[in-house]
Amino acid sequence: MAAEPACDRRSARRACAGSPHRGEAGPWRLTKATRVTCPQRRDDRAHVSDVVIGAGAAVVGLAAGLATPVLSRAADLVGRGVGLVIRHVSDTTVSGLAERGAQVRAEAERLAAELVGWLVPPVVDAAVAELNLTQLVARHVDIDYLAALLDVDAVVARADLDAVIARVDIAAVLDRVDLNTIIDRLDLDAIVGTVDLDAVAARIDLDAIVKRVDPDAVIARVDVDATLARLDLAAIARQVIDEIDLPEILRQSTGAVSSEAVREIRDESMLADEALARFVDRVLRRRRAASP
Amino acid sequence: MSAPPGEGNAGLVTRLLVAAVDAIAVVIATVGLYLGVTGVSFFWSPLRFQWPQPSPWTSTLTLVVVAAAYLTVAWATTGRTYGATLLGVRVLARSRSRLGWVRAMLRAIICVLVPIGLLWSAISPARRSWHDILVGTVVVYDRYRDRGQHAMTPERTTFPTGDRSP
Repeated sequence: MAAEPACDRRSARRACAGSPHRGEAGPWRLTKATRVTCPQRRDDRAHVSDVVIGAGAAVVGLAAGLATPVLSRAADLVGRGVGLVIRHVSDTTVSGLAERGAQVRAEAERLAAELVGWLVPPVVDAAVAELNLTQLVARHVDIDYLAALLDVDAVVARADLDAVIARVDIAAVLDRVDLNTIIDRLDLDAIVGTVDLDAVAARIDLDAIVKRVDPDAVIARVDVDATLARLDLAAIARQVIDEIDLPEILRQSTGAVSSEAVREIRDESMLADEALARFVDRVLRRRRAASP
Repeated sequence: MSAPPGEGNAGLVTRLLVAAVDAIAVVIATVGLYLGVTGVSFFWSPLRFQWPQPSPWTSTLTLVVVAAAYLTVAWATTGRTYGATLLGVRVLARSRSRLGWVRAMLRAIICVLVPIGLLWSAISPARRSWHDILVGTVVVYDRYRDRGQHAMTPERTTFPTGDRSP
């Protein structure tokens, strides 16, 4: 920040000659190390510069007022002269002049571009180096407002997430994850409670799964001998026999067999009765009554 | 609709089988009686015990008495002997009621004394033997264990062939 305009010692003394604090120790008493600022003199300088500028502007205005008709007349004359020349000069000459003009214009544009390219970068660098852009932006830009203007959905839609994921080293990420901690924090009962297992089961095509299972391969992997060796078949057999009421089964089966035999005997004897009756009727030439 | 005369009455074959089973039962009962009497005589006088040797007349008479008693009790109470139970027949009065004690005893005596009269059931249109005719009884098919209630209904004397459960 520039310091207050300072007066040199002599002019300060002159300017302050009429001060009521003359000869006292105070802010206006000059020492070697003191730089005195004089507001009155500063105002004087501003006033003088304004006067100069005002005078200049008046001169320019007067000159413009005087020159405008002249310049207008001159431009008119030049235009008419050019038109006259164009009308009376041959087309070849005009086209040659146009071509020459085009070349000059192109060269001038090139030179201007080079000049801009040569001047602008160092100027911009110097300007950027001088300015603290970060603070400038933080001070003057409403980032929240800009963020509100952003269409994040559109940004995400344009992002190639597959490419992003492809660049992620998932193995390294997983190495850094402590799964045990995560699992300890999970309430699996609550999660399972929210799952509709019936719907999940209904969506499973068990037939298709079973068709893909090779029973031979499964059985081939079972060590039947080892399984049998671990089974206490005698104990199992004893338990089964204890559970079964064998005498009751024998009684029921015997009763069923005997009742079946009795039923058979009864049927056979009835049929024999019928046969004998028919035979006797035939021998005795007796007409049998019709069965109901 | 009334049933034909012999419809629902047991024929000769069934009744012969019933008679055979009952004969075996009577023989077994008689043997048991003999053994019982023998055992009683042994315990009564073991020192003078000797196997009883009844005369043929005594044996025959004993058989007849046992048979008559057996048949009387069976027909008067349930209408069926053991053989009748096995073959699914029942002895009833012609009115489909149970025999009284007198009629049961008369039928038993005639049956024991004139067993050949059973053969008449093959000739009789109503499948009745001599003792049936003399005493006024019939032998019907009855596989139910309702003490004759089923067979005592005249309309239900014919055995329903669709239901064989006794």
